[in-house]
Amino acid sequence: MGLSSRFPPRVEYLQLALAVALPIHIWAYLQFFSQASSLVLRLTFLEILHVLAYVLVSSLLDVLVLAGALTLLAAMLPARVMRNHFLAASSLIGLWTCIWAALFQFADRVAILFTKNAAFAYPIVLAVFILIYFVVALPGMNLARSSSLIQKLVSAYIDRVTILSGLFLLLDLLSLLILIGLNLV
Amino acid sequence: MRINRREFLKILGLLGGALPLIRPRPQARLNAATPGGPNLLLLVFDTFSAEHMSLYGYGRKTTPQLERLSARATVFHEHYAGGNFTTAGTASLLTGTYPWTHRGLQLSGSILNPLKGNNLFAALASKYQFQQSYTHNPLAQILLEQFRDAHPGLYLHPIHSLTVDDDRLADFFKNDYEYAYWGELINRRLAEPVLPTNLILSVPDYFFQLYRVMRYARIYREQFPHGLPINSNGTFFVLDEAIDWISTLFNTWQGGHAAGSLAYVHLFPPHESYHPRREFLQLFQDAQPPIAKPPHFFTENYDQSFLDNQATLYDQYIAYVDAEIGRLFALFEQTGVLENTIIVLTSDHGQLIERGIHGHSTPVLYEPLTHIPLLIWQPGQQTRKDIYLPTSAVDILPTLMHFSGNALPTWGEGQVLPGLGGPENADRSIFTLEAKLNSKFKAITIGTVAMRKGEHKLIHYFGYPGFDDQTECFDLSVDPGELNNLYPASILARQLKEEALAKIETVNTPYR
Repeated sequence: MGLSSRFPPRVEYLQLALAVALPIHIWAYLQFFSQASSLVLRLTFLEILHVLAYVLVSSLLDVLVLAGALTLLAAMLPARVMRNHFLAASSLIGLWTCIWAALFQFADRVAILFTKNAAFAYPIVLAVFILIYFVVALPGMNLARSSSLIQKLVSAYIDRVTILSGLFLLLDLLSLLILIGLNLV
Repeated sequence: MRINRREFLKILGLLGGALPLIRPRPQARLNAATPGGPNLLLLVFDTFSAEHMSLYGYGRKTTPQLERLSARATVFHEHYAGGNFTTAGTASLLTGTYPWTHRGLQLSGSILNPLKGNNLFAALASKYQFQQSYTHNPLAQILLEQFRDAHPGLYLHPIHSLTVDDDRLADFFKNDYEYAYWGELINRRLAEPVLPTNLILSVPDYFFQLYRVMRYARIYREQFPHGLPINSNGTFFVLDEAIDWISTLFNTWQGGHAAGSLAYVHLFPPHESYHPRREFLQLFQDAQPPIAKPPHFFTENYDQSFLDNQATLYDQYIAYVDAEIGRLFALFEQTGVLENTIIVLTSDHGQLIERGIHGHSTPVLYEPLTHIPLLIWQPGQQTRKDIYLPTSAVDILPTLMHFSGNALPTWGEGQVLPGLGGPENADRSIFTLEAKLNSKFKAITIGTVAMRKGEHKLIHYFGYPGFDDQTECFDLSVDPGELNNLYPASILARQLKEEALAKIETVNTPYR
């Protein structure tokens, strides 16, 4: 079996990217606009767009890295684990990774809730977060493989987010071109 | 044999005429050939409070080297920062204008773009054609990038050239540093408690930062038991390396007869967090801590034992900085650099560790935060000169222009320093402004202005919800600790308030 046959079709990779692009961009825009009140004090409107371009390029990187990592994972694991139901399994894991990453942003605050001794609390809290990731991800992957309902739900989700996610990715690419133009040309 | 960066720098220093760590751009090297008068070193230590320096009478012996070196310097005893944090203070120093003019009002901000040509480097270009700068501080680098845009003759060394690891994104996108800095700041988990915009990559970045902290703590445990010094962007550095680099740079200029060269070096220590080298951790343990003062209405609720502990660490860190300054001058003395170099040593702002407050991003502009050191060594000066008149950071640019024989700029708000050719006006008003909560593009309606005039200091808080129109006034000649508020009882205090309010109104006029 050739190496290329271990990877999913390109269209499925693109669909996976569209699936994870939505939560990644919703998070990015939410955080960006939550800081807008601070930015307007010091930057003009065009300068704020300039900063947004950096945010969007990094969101594009997020999408590519996450979709790429899941594709690579599917290629490395036995076909029955992920590759046979690539879109459902990888999208489900991708979405869970986004949710988990959003929760992980609060790890420091969780650690401080338990004790002010950060050196003691951090390793435990981080270990618990990592454990939670796998406790959900592994059964999730199994569910995506075995449940036709999950497969249908994921497919329906991708159908519905395609246009919005595509728009997000288009703006990311536009931002990338702007930054290349400003910095490398 | 493996040679580490520090040893490499020392070898370079010994070679004397060796190349600087980073080669200047070809254009800058061409310019270096033009001979002129003495070279100039503008050396800024971030967050260096004069109120914590034994040179200025502090109870702990924090600056023995500067006391010794001041025997050949002009020492300014009542020198004030233009702002209370890096952006505002540094911009005042380098533009000769107060924050209400340059508008570098916010943390990580920049000055108004149309004003970026009004800077020290451009103003001194005819005298100092070979100009270099280095800073550990990304906030200062934002300003320097702006000045370089207006004056390409200024060569900026990247921050990572003197750090033990790189900062990343902002250096890569070097043509628009400020926006890349903001992009990096809000993409990564750098500004707690603000969450990063970057959802996925911020997670491995978080673990990478943890790895870096642990790695450098292990490598440098012997020298720095409290951890390696770190800047506000999470980048580690060793002060000694920067000192070696300055020495090497000036030795190179000395060897190459590159007279008419200028270096602006803005080093991060003694900015918090405090990381004194091991030998300084023994200091000040038995000494009396500074006198406790009552909490301010803008208290951050730090308890006194925490503040005492931080003050001791800060003093130890200052002692480390002082020792490194002493080492730099010893290197300079060996190679004769002092004979043809003007050295200006100052800070961008001070540090407040009292009244429940720790830091400098506070609206509370007491002396430890606004009163900063200023020492100037001129070639051939053999005796110490003490100046007790109040002076400001905005005076440094006109003074250096005066030294260079240039006409003073029309846009500056300072004057030539007294004792160095400037007027000796005891009744001049000196200002420090805190106005972070305002737009860079609009009138200043919320903030704190401190005004030093003669022996008195007025602090006026305006626009703060719940604390609007609060005023304090102190006679520093009898109340240096600023404990006895003369306002509103004193007529003079009321007059000073009127003057400060009139000044705010005047500077706001263009934005009304």
